[in-house]
Amino acid sequence: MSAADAAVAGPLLEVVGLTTRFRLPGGPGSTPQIVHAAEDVSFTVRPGEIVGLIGESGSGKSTVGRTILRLEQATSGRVAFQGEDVLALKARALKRYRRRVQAIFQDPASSLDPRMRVGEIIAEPLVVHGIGARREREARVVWLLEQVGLSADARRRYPHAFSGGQRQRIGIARALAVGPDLIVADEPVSALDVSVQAQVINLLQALRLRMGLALLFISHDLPTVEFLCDRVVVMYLGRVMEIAPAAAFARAPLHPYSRRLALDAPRFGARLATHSDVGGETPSPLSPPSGCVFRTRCPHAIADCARAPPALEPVTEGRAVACLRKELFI
Amino acid sequence: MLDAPVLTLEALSVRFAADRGEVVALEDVSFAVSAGETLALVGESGSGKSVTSLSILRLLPPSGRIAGGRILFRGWSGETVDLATADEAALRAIRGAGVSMVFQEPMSALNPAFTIGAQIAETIALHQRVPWRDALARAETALAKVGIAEPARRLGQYPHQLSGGMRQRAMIAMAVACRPALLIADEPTTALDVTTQARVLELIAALQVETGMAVLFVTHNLALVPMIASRVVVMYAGQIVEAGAAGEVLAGPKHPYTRALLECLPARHLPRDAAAPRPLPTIEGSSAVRPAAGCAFAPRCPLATLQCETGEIVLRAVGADGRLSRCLRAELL
Repeated sequence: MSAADAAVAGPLLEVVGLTTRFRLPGGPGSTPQIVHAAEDVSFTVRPGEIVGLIGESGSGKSTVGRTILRLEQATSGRVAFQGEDVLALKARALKRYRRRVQAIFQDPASSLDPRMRVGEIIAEPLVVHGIGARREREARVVWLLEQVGLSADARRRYPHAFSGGQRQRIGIARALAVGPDLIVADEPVSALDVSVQAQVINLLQALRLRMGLALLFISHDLPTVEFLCDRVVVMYLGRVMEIAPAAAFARAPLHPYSRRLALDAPRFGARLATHSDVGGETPSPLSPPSGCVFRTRCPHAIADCARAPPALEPVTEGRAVACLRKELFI
Repeated sequence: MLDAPVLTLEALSVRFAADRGEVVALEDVSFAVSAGETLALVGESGSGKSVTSLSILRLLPPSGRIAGGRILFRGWSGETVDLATADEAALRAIRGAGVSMVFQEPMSALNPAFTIGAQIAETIALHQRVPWRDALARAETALAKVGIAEPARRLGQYPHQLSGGMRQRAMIAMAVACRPALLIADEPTTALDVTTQARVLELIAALQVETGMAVLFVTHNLALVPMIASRVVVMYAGQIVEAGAAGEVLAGPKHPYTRALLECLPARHLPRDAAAPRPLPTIEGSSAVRPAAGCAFAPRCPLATLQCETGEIVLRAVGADGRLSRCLRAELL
């Protein structure tokens, strides 16, 4: 699918005001605490698009991914997949949804059953969804292995016989098995060697081009996101700070937090940036600051920033920022 | 003698017992780190970078042994010990106080049965002989310094109650709490976010300025090197393939492996112009397939000639700036 097609097509995935909170059981005599993992998160993924969801740990990026996958329960808000309300799906409809939306995770070793042969691992989603007869499934496994750059022999071996990069390829093949439209990829290259990361990034890019697959690429690595993704969604302490086309974002991040991320990302020729934010500690998602959650670390914060969370407002074509003082940065 | 290095590796060789005989994990590894200096040790899985850092504290698994060479450590007292031959009592005194280490996987260093506060305070109380209350107070300061929110509350929590990132920071707090002369940081920020990573690198740099400790920073990520280190050693298949000043090595690598490792980083290809990115350059093949003779990288090297596949390829001086390269064709780069 070309970029022009993607622009006219409606969104594949639409996340609107998604809020996911967790209740932590308090100790004896203490009150339970609420983790504000994701608050009022909105963004879209178009067919064939790669959207990068970037943020630190505690930013809620994985929670958003897991809520979309229905692995966590949303507190409020809406997730729509091809217009269908994902959060209301039950039993058979949910199973149908899981055929359309698959996941790959950071640690392929822990997401592959060590007692199953690779062929069985990749065929498992086909069995679960009742796709194909045995013979057809076998042929599909061989085809899938080929798609992810592994030889057909791999299906007879166990996961431990493979390197980290190869295991991630197996995880990708399993996700592809049922022919999904969207893959939620949570830090899929973070645990891999640099040269292997490049191979997996190339593979994801090739699969997108070949299969028209859309990807929600969850990562903390800004250069990788800027390189691979079409658009970037920046999260901090559960909230979306900025949404931008990746190329424009790479040239000039707008939100003060995005600028902080860009400064801290390892770049060539750059020494460690010194921090201008004195109170530079990330607050706990148990008690996020009032108003703008970034204000406690923001060099541009004013009194008004403490009042209410700023709305995510469009600033230029395809670009939105949640900052009261956005005029300073445009 | 003030400038004598804190750590000097001399022709260190490590072997691991295998099904048939032994495999060479490290071969002729030599480098030195001075007080106040950060040396980056860079390589991918199987390069020997972690075997090097484990060897220094003699934490190799039972199947591994130091087959040759010396590991000279010079602590704050000025006394030099060869850690390759030191006895267990001497090693115990040095571990955690003279030399301390942070790992990639925090759960390997933190005891799940004790609170974070107790573990950090124990290290402080043991090596610095301060009362428990003072040790706990210092533990809280140490946690705050590595960017942990609500440090007082975290002191009373167990490792499983912290996020992965926070456990990592707690371990770093524990490692630097005793002001070691040498900090070995083995992929300490690999699991952290960029902003936390930057803070941890800053913290290590700040502590280094304050205490003059030497830092051996082990990483797979060349992009981190200019942020933290003045010199870099690049390893491949158990050998040093290139060494030199960090800025110069990154600006103009003199080994094909270093060059390839740099080129596969997305950061090298930004900002990208095309609507769809071109594929990243990759390094085909695997370092596990090691040739019996010649250059270990030759099977994966685009510059390799017949000459590279025979004979011994030595680490040699290239140019005048102290750069070393283990490549016959370094001058072509």
